[in-house]
Amino acid sequence: MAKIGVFVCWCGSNIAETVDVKRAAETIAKIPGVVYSVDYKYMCSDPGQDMVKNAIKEYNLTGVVVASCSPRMHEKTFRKAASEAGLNPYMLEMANIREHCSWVHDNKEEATQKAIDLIRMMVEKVKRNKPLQNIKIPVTKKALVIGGGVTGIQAALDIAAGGIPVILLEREPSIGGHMSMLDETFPTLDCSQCILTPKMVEVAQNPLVTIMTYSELEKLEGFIGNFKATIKKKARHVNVEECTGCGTCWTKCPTKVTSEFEQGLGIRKAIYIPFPQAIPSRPVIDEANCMKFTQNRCGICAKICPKQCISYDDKEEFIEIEVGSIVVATGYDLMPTSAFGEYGYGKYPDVVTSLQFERMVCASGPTLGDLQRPSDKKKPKTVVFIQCVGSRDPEHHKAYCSKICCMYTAKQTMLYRHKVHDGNAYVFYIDIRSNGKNYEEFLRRAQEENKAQYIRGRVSMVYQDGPDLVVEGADTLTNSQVRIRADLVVLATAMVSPIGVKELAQKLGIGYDQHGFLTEAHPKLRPVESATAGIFLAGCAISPRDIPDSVSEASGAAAKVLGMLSKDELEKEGVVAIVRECSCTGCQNCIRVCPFTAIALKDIRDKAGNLIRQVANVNPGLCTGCGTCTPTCPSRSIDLQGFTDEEIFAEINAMAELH
Amino acid sequence: MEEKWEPTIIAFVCNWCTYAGADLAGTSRFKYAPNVRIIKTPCTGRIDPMFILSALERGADGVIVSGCHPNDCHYNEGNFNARRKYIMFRALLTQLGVDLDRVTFAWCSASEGIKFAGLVTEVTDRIRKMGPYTEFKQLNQDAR
Amino acid sequence: MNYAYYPGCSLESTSPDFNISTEALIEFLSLDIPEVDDWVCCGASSLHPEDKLASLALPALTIESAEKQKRDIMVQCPACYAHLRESQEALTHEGTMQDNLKEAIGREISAKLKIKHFSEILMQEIGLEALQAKVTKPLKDIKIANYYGCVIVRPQELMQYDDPEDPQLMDKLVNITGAESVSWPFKTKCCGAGNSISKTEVTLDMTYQILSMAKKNGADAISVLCPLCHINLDFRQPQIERRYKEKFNLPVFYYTQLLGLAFGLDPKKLALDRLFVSPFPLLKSKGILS
Repeated sequence: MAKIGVFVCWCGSNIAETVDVKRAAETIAKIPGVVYSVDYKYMCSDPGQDMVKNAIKEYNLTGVVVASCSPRMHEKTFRKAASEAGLNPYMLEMANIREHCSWVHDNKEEATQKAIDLIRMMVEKVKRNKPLQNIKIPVTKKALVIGGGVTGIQAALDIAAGGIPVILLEREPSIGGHMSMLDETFPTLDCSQCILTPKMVEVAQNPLVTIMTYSELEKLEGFIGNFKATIKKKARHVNVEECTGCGTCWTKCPTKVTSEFEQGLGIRKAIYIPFPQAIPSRPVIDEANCMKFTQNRCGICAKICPKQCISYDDKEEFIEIEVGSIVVATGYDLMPTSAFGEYGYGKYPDVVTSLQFERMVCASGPTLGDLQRPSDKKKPKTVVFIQCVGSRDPEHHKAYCSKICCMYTAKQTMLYRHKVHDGNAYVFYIDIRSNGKNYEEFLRRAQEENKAQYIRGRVSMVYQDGPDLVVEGADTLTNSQVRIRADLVVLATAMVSPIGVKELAQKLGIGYDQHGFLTEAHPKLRPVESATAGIFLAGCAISPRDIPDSVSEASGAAAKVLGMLSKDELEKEGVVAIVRECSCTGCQNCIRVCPFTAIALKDIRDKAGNLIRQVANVNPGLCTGCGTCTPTCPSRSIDLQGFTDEEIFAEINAMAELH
Repeated sequence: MEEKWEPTIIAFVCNWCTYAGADLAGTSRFKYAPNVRIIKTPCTGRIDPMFILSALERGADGVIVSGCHPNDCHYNEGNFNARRKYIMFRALLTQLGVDLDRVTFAWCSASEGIKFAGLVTEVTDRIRKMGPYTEFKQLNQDAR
Repeated sequence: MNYAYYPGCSLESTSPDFNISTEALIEFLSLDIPEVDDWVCCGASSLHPEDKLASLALPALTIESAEKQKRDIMVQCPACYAHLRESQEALTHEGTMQDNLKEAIGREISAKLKIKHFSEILMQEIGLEALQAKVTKPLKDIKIANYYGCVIVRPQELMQYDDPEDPQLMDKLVNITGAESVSWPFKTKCCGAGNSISKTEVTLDMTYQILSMAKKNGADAISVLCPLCHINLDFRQPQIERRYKEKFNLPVFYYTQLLGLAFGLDPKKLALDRLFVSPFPLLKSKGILS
């Protein structure tokens, strides 16, 4: 027989002014099974909590209802108190008579009646509650970081600093990401490679970090603390252990290929390292272009390699690793420029993207920092920068702001003026967003010291007129048309999620938005967590952000990983689904709807080991307790503990009996 | 004694959005009709159509089902499951002869306290005009 | 193919040369394209900013008439084309405007017919090869700048004509005549349009740029498909030349006239004599006409 205790809180006058708490407690006392019902001024105070504890002991209570504020405020408080008095914490429920009642109603009679109903519903529920145990999960003390840009590098370094081994996964032949392509960075104008390469070396030399380049995640199984990842190592055709990176192979390779790292402005070979500071500084053979693979001839690199490191027969490998936690730092791409016919990208060689411009001015770029425009190698005397190309354009492209373009455009006008002192830099913008530390000051320097001329308005078209480009646009401040003859046009194209991220997110079981950016568990309060426990997010994989923000998030995600992996066991709430195997028909409806692939089929065998049938089986480590499975079961064989059918029907019935 | 009849509304809400939205209505002191009784579930995906039928049978005159907006689900896709189920369920309700105006499905986020308050008042007014729902209750009593 | 021709008021009044050359092509190609019965104004120019409903109801009347004839609509003027399409959109999508339109017309209308520009019909339903086979007088050594104007390609979702930045449809048609279409950037730049009357200098400046760019890219002549563009480029050309002290002497053809010439039709039948910038010196110097 249930013995329920009910505690009605006044919350000072917050509840008591609108709800007749005495009457509520007295009415509830008459409900069968309620053995103790009182009201008190502040239930959450120490004396209030002691009342609960004492009553549990004194009356041998099997369940408790605290009628006070929202469970979001004090459910933890009271459940802790209950468990201190020896009652299973899941046998305590709260009736929300403040936020859902006294604060939103004026009429005392109606509010009191409603409060009584709410408490009665909870009493009926708690009568049917079952004691639940928190779930303990063992932990693999190892982490996986996906993406080897600056964000991933920082996350790996911070996790390793906490003593946890990390695998840093990168699909390109080298780590470094987009930051390694940049010339100088805002707002300090320090050289991007000068600050990044030490970090790359540091992560490469850290004994706790294993770098896996030219590799991708193939499959992920398991759950928080116990992930099993399958990594696809693409065929590199070079023995990384033996190779010394001497460079003989790529010097002699006869096949020239457009360099991705140089954004199409430079040349690499079919066997190559993407850039001199690459880590690992070991080459890779590009099968799509190497003559050995396309025409089965050449083979020079294998012949001349002093250490015989090259093998054309290498096949991709699959490696299984076990990790406890994952950080996703997959970064961004620039929007494909083919979408912008009006700016003539692809038609006019002197219309370039901002990333191409970085390579054009970078001392390690294809021209070694000598700024030349692509068509005729001329030094551009007038450069027009166009911002928001594809961003903030909901009608045609992306509605969001790419966040960093205002600042890097200001930076690029400076870099340009440092190369061409008498040059003219024009910037077309919609609004200027310079809201970071020292950003506004930096922008003013671009405008005042470096004479960048800012024009508020959009460009309608770019066309070729003889050797020049003509940029036509509107100046919306003077309400006039502008026509500028330029030598070079730089497009600040939108940042978009990179190819393959949606597929990756599906493998990981994490959410993404309509643009392919990964979704945080909460945009404000859980910004580096995914909704899937144990998987964390950082950097531009979430949405466009700059280097400082990305690096901060990397450290944030690393702290989350370390916090999680600092324990030997993880504990999570006991609100998980449970299967009644005797009536389960194995129809798999629950498996199909489970958003977390927490349910799988389990074999039922007889004593001889013959398979009799299969039933659903919930992995409590993966189950998040959403309950989506429960209503889909045709035989009502799967239920959500803590919110069972019986408990909820009891609430419905309790409500009905009064009316 | 003839009391003035007031409708009873049961609201099935998800824990993360609508329940928190109702909390926000409280902390913001947005007043609304006192006729609603909230039943909390973790997610709209948990809400069984049988809950709604049962509520109507046991005395509710109107039902509200509310959870996170599409793409905001704490569990990624529970609300999409709920929406699919509800679309099917509407057809079933019509077949059973239940006026669809008695069952309201609405998205309401944790920041939409004002929306929640408006929703409750609007539904209460509507159900008040429609009068008590007796068909299922009658069936229930007959069965007894 | 089952079309009815909607000339619209421009082709009936200010641009008979377009109309005449279109009729000549229809006759030469033995196409069965009668006029739409009882067609009315398309609602363009002054009406659509004044009274949206009326401006959509007028083309709806024409659509209804073609529907009765059981024919699709063939149109030449881009403004007519745009308004017919817009009206069709409103008629086929549920909403207040659909209700209002149906009430305004007072007759049942499904509006599920095709509305096509003549150049699209030539291209898609007759085909370049079939047209090429009919060329008897190739327009050798002539370079043409194809000027589409802004209306035919925008908004793309509605017009679905061709790429709004660099359309190719007219270029391909002109190329079969033996003339060479030049690649140039101002194919869809605005000609100044209606400002021609209210703010003439604006139009003159814009048209001046178009003519200059065509000349710079080596064009001997311009080909157009819009009557208003034609007026601004052809009729105003002497005025532009005086204002900017620069000689262009660029004949402005309708694409139908160029096709007709290549098919060997009589220049009179193509209304070439009605052009303000006479094309005859050019055509004679290239040996196309004697």
